[in-house]
Amino acid sequence: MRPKRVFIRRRIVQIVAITLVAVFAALLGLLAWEERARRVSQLVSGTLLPQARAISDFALTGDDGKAYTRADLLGHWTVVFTGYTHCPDVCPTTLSQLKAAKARLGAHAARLAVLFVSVDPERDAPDHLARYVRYFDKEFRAATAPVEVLTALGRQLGFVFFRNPGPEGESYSVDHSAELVLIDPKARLAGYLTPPFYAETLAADLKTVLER
Amino acid sequence: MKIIRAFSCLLASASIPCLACDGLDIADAYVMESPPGAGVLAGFATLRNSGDLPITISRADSPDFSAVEFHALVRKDGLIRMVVEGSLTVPPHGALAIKSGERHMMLFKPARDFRAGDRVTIRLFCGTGTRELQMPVEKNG
Repeated sequence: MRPKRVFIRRRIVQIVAITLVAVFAALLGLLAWEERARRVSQLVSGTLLPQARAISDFALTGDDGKAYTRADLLGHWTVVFTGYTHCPDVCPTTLSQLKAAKARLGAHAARLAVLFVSVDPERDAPDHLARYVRYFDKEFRAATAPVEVLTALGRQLGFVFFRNPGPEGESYSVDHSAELVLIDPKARLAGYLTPPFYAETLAADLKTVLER
Repeated sequence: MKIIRAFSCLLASASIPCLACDGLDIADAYVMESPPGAGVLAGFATLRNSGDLPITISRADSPDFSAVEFHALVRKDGLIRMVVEGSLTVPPHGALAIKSGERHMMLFKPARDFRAGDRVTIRLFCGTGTRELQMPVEKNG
């Protein structure tokens, strides 16, 4: 009887020890996975969605006068900035910062497209938009569309805009979202970069995104 | 630091007393270079008042632009809005920064495309006098 009891006790100790090791290893693994997930989704100035969200098709008019659709988002990351050319401070400053950030990305920059979506179709004709964005960077693209199309795209991408009549009615301005929208190479909404923007942090966040 | 002093007294005829914004110093004035064909430009400066009374700038104009307004940027609920400010007041022995990201002189319809190195003229109206500024156009960043 006695040796058998000792044997059983040893078995129990063994099983408990193995279970403890397994639980400990699983916990460590979980922590490492969480740490990695946290690192990947953590941006200096922005947020990545836990799950990228599909974008349904849309049709804007590109700065070359041709359609700019969902298909144009495929195969590379896109950072979308909504604004308008009659915005004399925030829009040129943000586009300049995007250019400076892109210059810091080195070879990664080839996998990033910058799209300026004008929310002022009345004043921003495609050829005017082309001249405007190309001033900042030859590779920047712009697009616009009738207000209803932009509103629908805004619902998908999470940007809003409102026309804000000026005192004389003629010189209206457009209130617009300040975030930059991140779209992944599968044309899915991946997250947002939030102001204030600085070339250095923008570059760091874009690098995090491009290295995913 | 670039201090731009009164030019208006030079321009005004000698018979008119020079009351131009006494105590107002303007530093770091510049206009941000914008893409060709831009319909509006933004001007920035730091206004300092060395006097004992507030200085109110009631309006501005320019031979280089169709109109000049003072605009503040308001950020609320993730939106950026430009708000027209009817006038600017520089407190006594204080300063007012017309600074990118916060406030700008909104310069409408430039007479031509201004490039970095060009200068534009802006006239500030304060009380009974005016102050003329020559603002250099500078590249952003």
